[in-house]
Amino acid sequence: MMRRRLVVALAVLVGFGVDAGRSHAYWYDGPSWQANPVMSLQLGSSSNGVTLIDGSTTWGQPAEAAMAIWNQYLDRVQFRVIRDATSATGLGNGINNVFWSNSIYGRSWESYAGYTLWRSSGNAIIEADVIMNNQLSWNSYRGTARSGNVDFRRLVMHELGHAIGLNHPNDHGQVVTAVMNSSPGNTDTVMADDISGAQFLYSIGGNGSVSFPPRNESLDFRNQLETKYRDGLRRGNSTTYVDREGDIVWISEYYRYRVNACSHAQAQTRVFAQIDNTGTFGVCGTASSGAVAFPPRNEALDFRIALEAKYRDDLRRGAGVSAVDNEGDVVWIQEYLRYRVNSCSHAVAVDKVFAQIDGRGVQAVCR
Amino acid sequence: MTAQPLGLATARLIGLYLSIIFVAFPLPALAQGAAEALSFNQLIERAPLIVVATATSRRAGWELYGSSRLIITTITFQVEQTLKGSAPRTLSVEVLGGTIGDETLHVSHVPEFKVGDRDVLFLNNAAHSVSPIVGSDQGRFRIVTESATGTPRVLTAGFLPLVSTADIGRGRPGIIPSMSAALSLDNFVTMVRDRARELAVR
Repeated sequence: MMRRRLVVALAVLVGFGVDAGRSHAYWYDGPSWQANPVMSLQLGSSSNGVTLIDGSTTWGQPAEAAMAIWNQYLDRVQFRVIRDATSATGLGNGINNVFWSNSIYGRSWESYAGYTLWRSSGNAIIEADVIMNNQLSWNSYRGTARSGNVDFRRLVMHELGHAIGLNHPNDHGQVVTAVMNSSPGNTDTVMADDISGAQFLYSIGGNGSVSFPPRNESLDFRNQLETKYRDGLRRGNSTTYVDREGDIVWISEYYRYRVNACSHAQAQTRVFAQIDNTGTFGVCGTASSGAVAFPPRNEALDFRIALEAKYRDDLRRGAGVSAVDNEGDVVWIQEYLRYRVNSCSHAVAVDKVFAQIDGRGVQAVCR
Repeated sequence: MTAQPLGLATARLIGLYLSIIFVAFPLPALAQGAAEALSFNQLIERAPLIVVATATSRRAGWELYGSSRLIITTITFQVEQTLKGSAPRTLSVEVLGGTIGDETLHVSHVPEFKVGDRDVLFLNNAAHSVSPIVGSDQGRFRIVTESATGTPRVLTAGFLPLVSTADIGRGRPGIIPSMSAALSLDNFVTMVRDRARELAVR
């Protein structure tokens, strides 16, 4: 097994104390998927048709939710799902089975609720089977682990972490909060350390093939937009919890991820992780050649609304005002950035955006 | 790829220690969500055999189960001390997983042993368990020599210094203790022997 992040473990062995949760100490064996892992879910409906605590009506729903969470941090590959698969289970068949069993291929359980068996050849994972113990009392819920009711979602999330090549950080003299700890306990979703591990194995990395303008220029545009709305369009103020600098910085970041191959969910998750200072991420891929394409406006608006909630509810920022409503905000920032990443200078981009606002139609880019 | 079937002698050695009377334990709720966290007493109660041993060799082979092709690794230990039960001087156990040629079978929660690893092992009594260790890996305690004093000290399977047997099964500590705070091997061995005796009397 390959050893990573050995420094912390060595620190223990020579007698230094390490504060809990400080270390970022993900652990992995080495191999990773070179193609999308397609998981064949063979879990059936929840027992006796009872709705689970989180509202799921099948075991596949929390399993798919767990995969979707991991997918937000996987760039090179993505979990794919076959629902209600009927293929035979077995190791060595090239099928990634996720199923209940009373044994691990004929071997009895030993204290754990789930085991993952993953095969690798060289540096490539070639098969991963996730086996969940059907002799236990399961449910699906968030929050504190409940005695006598094993949370399926966090456990399958943990096992899927194995399936992508991660191992237990706490098996190596480290104390860290992670769903990949040998027992996740009250950790019900991926944490910064888990994300770092997933990114290490699967990030394409870098800032992307599309360069965005410097922040001072973007902020200058945003300030001019405010003036344009207030004085030119005579718009009244509306309440916002996002200050102007946060507005332009995070919307630009969202767009930067989007034009560099991130999905809406991936982009939003990564921006919010930046805001929370829980991780830095590369982009998700390389933008296609030619004119840089931007995402649909409804998705950008969705992000802007989520950003408002983030500032208000998580960051507890006070209310301010802006003459630019949310929709105008994302639409014109996107247009400004679209001109910029398609070879227009700052001044030209501002001019083109304001021409659009004044009703003179979409302007040509500068390529 | 070099497939190596398990030898008859190995199987006999495995059978030797597995021949101890099987005692079925009820499967309790998993307190920490993923694993049943076992206390010191539970480890002792569930282990018919407890030894201080050093891994001297390991050998991987294929095993068929239905249509599945599994890699099993047989690890042979030199037993230094037997703290509970009766063990031969050379003991072999099987773990699910291992490497044959270019192919590796990784199995979560199953401990890996390298040649030279010295441990206190709480061995279970299941003929075909995913792991030969009680609690998958919870019944493995590593023996590491403290560099400053040369004292052999006891760490958990996860390399955390074991300060007290009361900490076993309690989950992760807030602060990782220093190596010098860990129980010495001699103390731990005495504690295991004494507690095993007490539990046998009850």
